[in-house]
Amino acid sequence: MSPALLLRAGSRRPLAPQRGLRRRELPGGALVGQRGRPELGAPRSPGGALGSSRGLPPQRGLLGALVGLRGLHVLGPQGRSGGVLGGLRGLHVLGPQGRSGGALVGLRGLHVLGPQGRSGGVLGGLRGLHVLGPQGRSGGVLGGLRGLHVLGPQGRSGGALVGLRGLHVLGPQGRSGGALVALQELLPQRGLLGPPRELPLQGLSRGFAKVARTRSSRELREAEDSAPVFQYVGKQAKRKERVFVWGFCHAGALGIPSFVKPDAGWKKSRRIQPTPYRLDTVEKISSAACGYGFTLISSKTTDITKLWGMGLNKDSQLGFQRSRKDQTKSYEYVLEPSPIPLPLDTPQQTRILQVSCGRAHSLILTDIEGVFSMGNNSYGQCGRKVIKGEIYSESHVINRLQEFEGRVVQVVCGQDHSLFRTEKGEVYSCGWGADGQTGLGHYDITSVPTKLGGDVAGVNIVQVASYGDSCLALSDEGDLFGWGNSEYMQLASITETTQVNVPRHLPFKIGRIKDVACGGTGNAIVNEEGNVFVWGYGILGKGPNLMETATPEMIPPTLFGLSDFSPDTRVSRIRCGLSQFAALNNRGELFVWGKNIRGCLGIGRMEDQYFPWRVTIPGEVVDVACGVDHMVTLVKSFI
Amino acid sequence: KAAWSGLNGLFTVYKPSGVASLRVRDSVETLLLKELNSLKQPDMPQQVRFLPTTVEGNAGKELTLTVTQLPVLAAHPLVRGWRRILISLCDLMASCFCISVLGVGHGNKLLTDLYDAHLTRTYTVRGLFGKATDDFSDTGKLIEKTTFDHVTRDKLERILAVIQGTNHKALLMYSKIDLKTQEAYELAVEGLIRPMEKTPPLITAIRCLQFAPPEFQLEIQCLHETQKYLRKVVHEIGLELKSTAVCTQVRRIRDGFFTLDSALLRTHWNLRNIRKSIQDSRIKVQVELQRNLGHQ
Repeated sequence: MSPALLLRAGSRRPLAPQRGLRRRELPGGALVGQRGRPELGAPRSPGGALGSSRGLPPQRGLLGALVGLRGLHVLGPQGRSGGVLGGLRGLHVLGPQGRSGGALVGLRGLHVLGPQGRSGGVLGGLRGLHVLGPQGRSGGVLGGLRGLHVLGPQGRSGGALVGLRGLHVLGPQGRSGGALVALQELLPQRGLLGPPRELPLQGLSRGFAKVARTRSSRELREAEDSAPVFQYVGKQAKRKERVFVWGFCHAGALGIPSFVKPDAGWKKSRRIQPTPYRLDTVEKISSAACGYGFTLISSKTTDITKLWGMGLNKDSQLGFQRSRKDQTKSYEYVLEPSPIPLPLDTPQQTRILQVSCGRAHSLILTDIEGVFSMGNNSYGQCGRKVIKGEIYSESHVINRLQEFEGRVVQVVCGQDHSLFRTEKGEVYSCGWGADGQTGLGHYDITSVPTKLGGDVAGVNIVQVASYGDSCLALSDEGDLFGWGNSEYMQLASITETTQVNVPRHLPFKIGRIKDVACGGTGNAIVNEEGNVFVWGYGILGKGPNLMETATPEMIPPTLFGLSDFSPDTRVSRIRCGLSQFAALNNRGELFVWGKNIRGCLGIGRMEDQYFPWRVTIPGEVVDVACGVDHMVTLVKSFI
Repeated sequence: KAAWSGLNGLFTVYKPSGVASLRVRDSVETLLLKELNSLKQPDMPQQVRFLPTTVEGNAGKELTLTVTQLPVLAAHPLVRGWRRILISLCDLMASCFCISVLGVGHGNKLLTDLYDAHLTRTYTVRGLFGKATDDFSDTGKLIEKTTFDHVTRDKLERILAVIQGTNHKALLMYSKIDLKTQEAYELAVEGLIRPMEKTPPLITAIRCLQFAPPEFQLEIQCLHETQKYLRKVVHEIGLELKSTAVCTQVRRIRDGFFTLDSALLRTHWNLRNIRKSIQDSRIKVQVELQRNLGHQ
């Protein structure tokens, strides 16, 4: 039997523990699959073959072969072919071999390969401490080894170390000298006596590959239990507030400068952001409002900086944004959220409750200092006297409005007029009135906030809404009042005239109303049961066939996420842009529909949407603000 | 004879876990065949043959034809062998309990129609928080362990709502219908928009049945899914909750309109029950297929 055959005969894995000793007499004293300490006499001829055994006394004949063994092996001096140790463990002492030298393949532990005869010692795929004694002719070949190697003085071909690790001490070489190939520095040894890892016997593996072994279930369980546990979020982790924006970018209204001025030369500026994009803000934003090409965001903090604006600033609707190049000039376009300084008496105590934006003016509501207005005042919408020929760009004027009886709790900007609602339930208005949107009984402009009469006099109004030229008000009993433009049949149910300049009660039988929203040409309300009703003109949300109606039509709740699997889904809020609608349901999902002007719907497509469509936002939507061609949402993260 | 005629249609069996679907199909087929062939065989048909014989005639032996009746050997059971039936099944699901729809005889064609109708299936999926493995099930190689004490039922349901919403949107988008038409609006209202061709897996509905950390159970209604996809969904739910999760069990409880009630247990796999099951589902199958394929 040649040594090669015996190498293959052995198993690579340690053999399973055998209970009891079973001695099988094989030719030449071969013990296969045994444990214990069998003593093998000193047979003559083919040498001893030990499978998983120990202590092989010196053999005569061919060789001593130890395959798949454990424990201490002492392979005495062999005859001709030398000793072959394959897949072993423990301490191996391979005595001086005869001719072919000793070959240690796939071993572990301490190996001492005594002085070899001619072919020298071959150590392949080993671990542990190897001491390769002085070799004969071919020298020692160590391939794919680990651990400390001491290569004694070699004979002719010199020592060759291939793909090794660990500390190598290469003794004096013979002729070809030592060749060290692909060595690595001393690395911490991974458990020389750890779990057994036998490498393939054939060839010299480089020591990088690990043979996949099927581990017992106990080992797997132990490995699993000892694996580290990661914690990504604690038990009391708070949900983070985020702001998402989408729509038309070139005016800067989205607040991300790289959309307008890209930060790398090869990037292109983005005209439209079709899907929600996260806007990084310094503070938690509590209120946001979209105007016609600009945005205001505010926070309820008591810090000095509580209001930021971005977008169009040609009428100083974002205040005076001092330019860095020229201290006397203000920016016409503000590309990122820039703080707006307000002339507050107590800047470190006042909190901003709400902001609102119109076409070219904006209103800010504070808790203790009343209302501030800035921007265009050509129609008196800022609540101050119209100055003929006033230049509104680069203006420092921020007006403080105090002509109200009681505290103002809501401000709403129409296109060129302003509405104020006080604590007592009264409504004030100022600004352009050609469509009767001021509701004061005339069609002139008003530059001083004046209380409304008509059907809302004496009624406790809890909400007002406007964005274009028509307005709606909601009383605490769920009654609806409307005035302003009626060219698009918003008030056609009560009157034929196209302009209504006095608030009129709208006798709709649509349940108790909870939320109202007024768009440019269409209106929408949400009632107590969570149903959405729309009327007016344009894409109302009931398919392409319904383009105008004077009486409210209900949009089926299944379009807002109601299904058998989630039967208690309700719409909780409704908002209007100029020609689009946005609805929030109680699960924090946002549904939009309407004209998709420059991608303002945020659905990823540029086509108009004729029925409510869900916007995918990574978070629970808390509030949404719609503008003409962009939208801003305030979102809470899921976890 | 009557037995054979009743065997044309679809029926469901309850496949236990760990058994390959093909094995189940084979065993059902073997059982059926055994029973069918053990029934009383009809008498062998006889045929009339004219055979040449020799007859003592006038001038010695003459060749004439005589009439005899012989059995048709081709119909002999030993010659013919066992009668065969063809059973095919809808899809393969190893290592999970599921109800499997099998078709017999003409029912095989119905199976194809059923596939084209793109009906949804419902699964109950059990998961375990705290572990992440490479094949998303708890028998795979461990990748990471995480804490999960911050996970509450409320957070899980929030994530499930988002999954449902995004999949619903994908459903509408894959159905390749022009969203600007009134028809699209009406279908969307009724929830009948459904893709009528092969799409990536889509979840039509998902909800949490049980929540007892670290274990939880979900009911998932989906289209064109694979078992690996369901396990991946569990894994991704774990990731969204800033923890990790593996799937321990997947069970199919409804396939189109075949539910657990109509599935036959292992003990009931015999001819009589199968025939009864085919009969019961015949009308349902017809109605449903008409409704769904009529849209095309």
